[in-house]
Amino acid sequence: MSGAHAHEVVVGGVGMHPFGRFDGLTTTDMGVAAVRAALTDAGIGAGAAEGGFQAAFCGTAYGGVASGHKVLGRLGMTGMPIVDVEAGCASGGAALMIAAGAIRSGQYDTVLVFGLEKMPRGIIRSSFFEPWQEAAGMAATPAYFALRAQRLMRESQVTKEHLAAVVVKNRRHGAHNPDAMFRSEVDARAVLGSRVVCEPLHLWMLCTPNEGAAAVVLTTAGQSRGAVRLRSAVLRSHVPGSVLSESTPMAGLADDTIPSPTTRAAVAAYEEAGIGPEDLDVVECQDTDAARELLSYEELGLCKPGGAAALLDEGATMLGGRLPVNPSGGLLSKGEPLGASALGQVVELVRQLRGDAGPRQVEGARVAMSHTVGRGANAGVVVLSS
Amino acid sequence: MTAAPPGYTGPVPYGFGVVELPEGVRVVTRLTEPDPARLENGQPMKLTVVPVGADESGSPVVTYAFSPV
Repeated sequence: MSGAHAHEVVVGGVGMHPFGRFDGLTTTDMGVAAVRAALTDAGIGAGAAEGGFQAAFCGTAYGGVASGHKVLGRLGMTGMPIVDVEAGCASGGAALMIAAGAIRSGQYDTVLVFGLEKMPRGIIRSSFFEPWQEAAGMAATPAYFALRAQRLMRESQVTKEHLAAVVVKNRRHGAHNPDAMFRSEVDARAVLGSRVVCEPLHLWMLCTPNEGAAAVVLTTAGQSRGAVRLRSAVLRSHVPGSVLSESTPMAGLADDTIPSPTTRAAVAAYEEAGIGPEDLDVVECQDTDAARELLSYEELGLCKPGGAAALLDEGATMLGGRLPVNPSGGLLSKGEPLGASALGQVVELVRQLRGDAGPRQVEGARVAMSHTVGRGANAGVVVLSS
Repeated sequence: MTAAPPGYTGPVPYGFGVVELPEGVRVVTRLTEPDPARLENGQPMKLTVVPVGADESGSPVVTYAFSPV
């Protein structure tokens, strides 16, 4: 997608339903709330229907049949193409990529992108795994996270204390986010005192699957002057062979040079946006577990390979540091509703770039990146700028 | 792994790791040793079979695993 862009894409509006547990609400209820907020933010009134947006893409992994139609049906805003998009943790990123491409190509002027989810409690049960894998104890998602964490610790200066420090940092940020599930600070001792799920990962180092919704209106620059620009929205899957890739293979090659899905997506996103890591002011990245955030520092090029511990130690990624990561509190504070999580990051970054992030504002933020990665494998990277 | 993942009724904790075969293939596998402190990166392992519960008819279900040599 590099080269001349016939139509520049901007963010016309954003909206969110908080992430958490909402026993009295359906997935559709939450989706309606997020979409209504985003449309209001974009100045698209009720009854605008196809005049307001010409297509809608809905990210969800657990939503079931016609999740997007159920939300827009409730709002009486149907008639345009409504397509559900599933790409695991990156579902929202995938929906955003499709919408942005359609606007750039001139197919549509304005597209509604939203994501919603109501996750089962506990370790994620996924149809990705075959019955034999479940029976054999191989559908152990935290164990795959733990293997990646162990490799990171073996190959770099990262220690268990660094993993705890990521949780402390993100929970401190999340205390200022009214859309987060956990809004209390924690200390390292409490994190390391929570039970071990799979060494080295303690319970509090793992994000909580939960519920929520987020929505973004994308449009052409001419329709919304001065708005946040979408510089790139990239999705990549894994290349075969890597045994610890998020593709969760049962076997792979003894080859440590295979690039990760995140690295591939990030390289493409930087190229498409025409920027490099040194241009970023703020990042929202996939902290499904504490080690995953540190891996992302490396894979997104925020530091050199092996440099994640030092970047964290110097305070660079804390609010007030030179490159705050997860000012929203990340998934460790917000929890993770799969279909909504990538768009939740984009909502946060748009607020940051507008200067609307309140006590968690990254001062002077002009260029921002979001990142999600999960099963498939799917890695989504988005670059935004003011 | 200290908690039973979805669909699993076998014993916990259980070991989980990556074993590299001489042919250049790495296998994600259960390990018979559940205590990571008693495992060392690079140590020799051998293939074995472990019980992981029973099916609906009560027949035992087994799967592959690797154990320290």
